[in-house]
Amino acid sequence: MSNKKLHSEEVFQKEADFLEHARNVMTQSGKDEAVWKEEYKSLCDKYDRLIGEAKILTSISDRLHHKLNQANDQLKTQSEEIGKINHDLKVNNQILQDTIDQLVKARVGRKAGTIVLLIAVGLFMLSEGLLEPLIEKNTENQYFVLFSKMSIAVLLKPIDTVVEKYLMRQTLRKKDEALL
Amino acid sequence: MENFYLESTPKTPRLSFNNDNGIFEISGRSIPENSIEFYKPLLDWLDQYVKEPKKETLLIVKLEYFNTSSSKCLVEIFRKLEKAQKDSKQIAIKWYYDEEDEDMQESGEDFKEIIKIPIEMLVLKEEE
Repeated sequence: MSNKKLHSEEVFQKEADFLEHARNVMTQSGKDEAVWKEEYKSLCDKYDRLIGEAKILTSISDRLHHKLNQANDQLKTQSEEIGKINHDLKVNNQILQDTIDQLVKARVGRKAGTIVLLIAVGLFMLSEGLLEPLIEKNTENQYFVLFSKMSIAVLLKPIDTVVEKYLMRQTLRKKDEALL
Repeated sequence: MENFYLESTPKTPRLSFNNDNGIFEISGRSIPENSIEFYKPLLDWLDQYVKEPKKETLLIVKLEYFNTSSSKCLVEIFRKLEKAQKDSKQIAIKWYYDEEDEDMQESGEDFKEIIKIPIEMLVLKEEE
């Protein structure tokens, strides 16, 4: 027998005991009418009480069920609200992450620009101080000088891209290390 | 006869039955796994009390929630106190409920209909 069933039987133990008594009385014979009447009155009283208690238990049970339904509805509403808040948080988080990424990219871009500028100055000095005199010494064709300078200018963009990518990788690696 | 006292838990109420002054109190939540087992010692104690009750007995009920089997146990407690209403002994019940808790108020009204003890319905104030 399950515990719950056992408990519910215990709840009505007194009533069950009285029913048993009433059944026993029924099997007995040779009793006075007054005794029968007394037993019958007692049975009616107990039955009356039982009806009253059954009414109470029913209405309390109904109210508890109603309360449970209300709590359930409230939980459902709160769950939906939490779900919505969670979704909004995810969206805001993504917006924040995008903004952070853009800021990092801009910072890396500025840093890369500075480095490329320094490289450009270095290459310009190299071109003016070393390459140009060497070309002028070995050939009279001025296009070679122009071509070398144009090559340096054209190289600046790929250098900028490489530096930017390198810096971005460095930044991401640092961020991963910080997260770990 | 000693007083009967049990501290409350998240599932069971505080039971304070003072034999010295005849003031009894049940307060808190009553949702024990086995209500009969929980209330049995109190019902046994009441059996002794009703043999020699105080001139005036007051039962204060301040329950915020109770399950169906607890309500049957409450009926048993009230029935036992009904028996003490003899030889000019006075028994009274004060049933407190939260102003916003209609269910608890209605439960008190339900008990009032079947119990032959005056039950006074009172709104629970915050400091109580």
